[in-house]
Amino acid sequence: MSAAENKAAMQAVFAALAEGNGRPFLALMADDFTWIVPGRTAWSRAYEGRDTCVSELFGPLYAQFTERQRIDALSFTAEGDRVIVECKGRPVRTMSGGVYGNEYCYVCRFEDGRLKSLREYLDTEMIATELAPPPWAVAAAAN
Amino acid sequence: MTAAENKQLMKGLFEELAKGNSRPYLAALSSDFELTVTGQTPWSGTFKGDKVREFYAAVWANYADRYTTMAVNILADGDTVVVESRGCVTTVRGDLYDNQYCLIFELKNGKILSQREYADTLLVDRVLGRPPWAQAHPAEAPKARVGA
Repeated sequence: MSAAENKAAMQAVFAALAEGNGRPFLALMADDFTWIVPGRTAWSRAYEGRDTCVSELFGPLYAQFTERQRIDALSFTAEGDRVIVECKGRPVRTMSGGVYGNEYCYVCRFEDGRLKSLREYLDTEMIATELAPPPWAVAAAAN
Repeated sequence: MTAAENKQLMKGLFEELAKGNSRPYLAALSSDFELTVTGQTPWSGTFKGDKVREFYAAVWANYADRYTTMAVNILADGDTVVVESRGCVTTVRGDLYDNQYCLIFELKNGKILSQREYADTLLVDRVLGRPPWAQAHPAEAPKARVGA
């Protein structure tokens, strides 16, 4: 696929995310898709495989929100197999009474028309202050 | 300029930044250049004109040796160039400051109009001191953390 096609695919994904619908995003991810959360937070690591992303990242994350989060794209930049998306999560209340609305820069890499990897740049401090660690990190710390 | 020319320009600037030479980068900033540092650290905000110079002077005052930043990925689309880069420097307090950046540059006629920076804010808070314009208020309580 061309850079323009990859960009159009991400624009469609974000049209849905703006409505709180993550299904097109999931559908675009390859089975061996990798999501990378940077930094040294409890959530920071590479999540390898779409199923792992769902069970260890998206699931535990959304479980901390009291409502569905909408994400608004600010810009799309594409060249070759990469699409960079700047986006902002609309603030949602968390189960612990905080508010979580992060700003992101996603570096997405495509392969054969599917999303192969996503490296996320975001406000890591907000993760530390507003999110509880994911259950797998709590379990690992207890061992 | 074309996307390819914009990319070439930024590539040249980052080749120098990788050697610790920021002069070509500073020379490429337009007179009304705007710097946005995302997050909610004391360093976050939008800076313009003299405030950009103040910002960099305050950041560099933290560094004990030459700051280098190495581009690991550069791509261009029209007037936008995105650079992922990896910084490396030791601070005056002896900490390693090795942030990972995603920088979004808007260019026009060979000059940089704006730069939006996404980086590890937790590392900024841990390693960089407070800038002069955000000195700690004595009554300020540290933020409670529910996670780590």
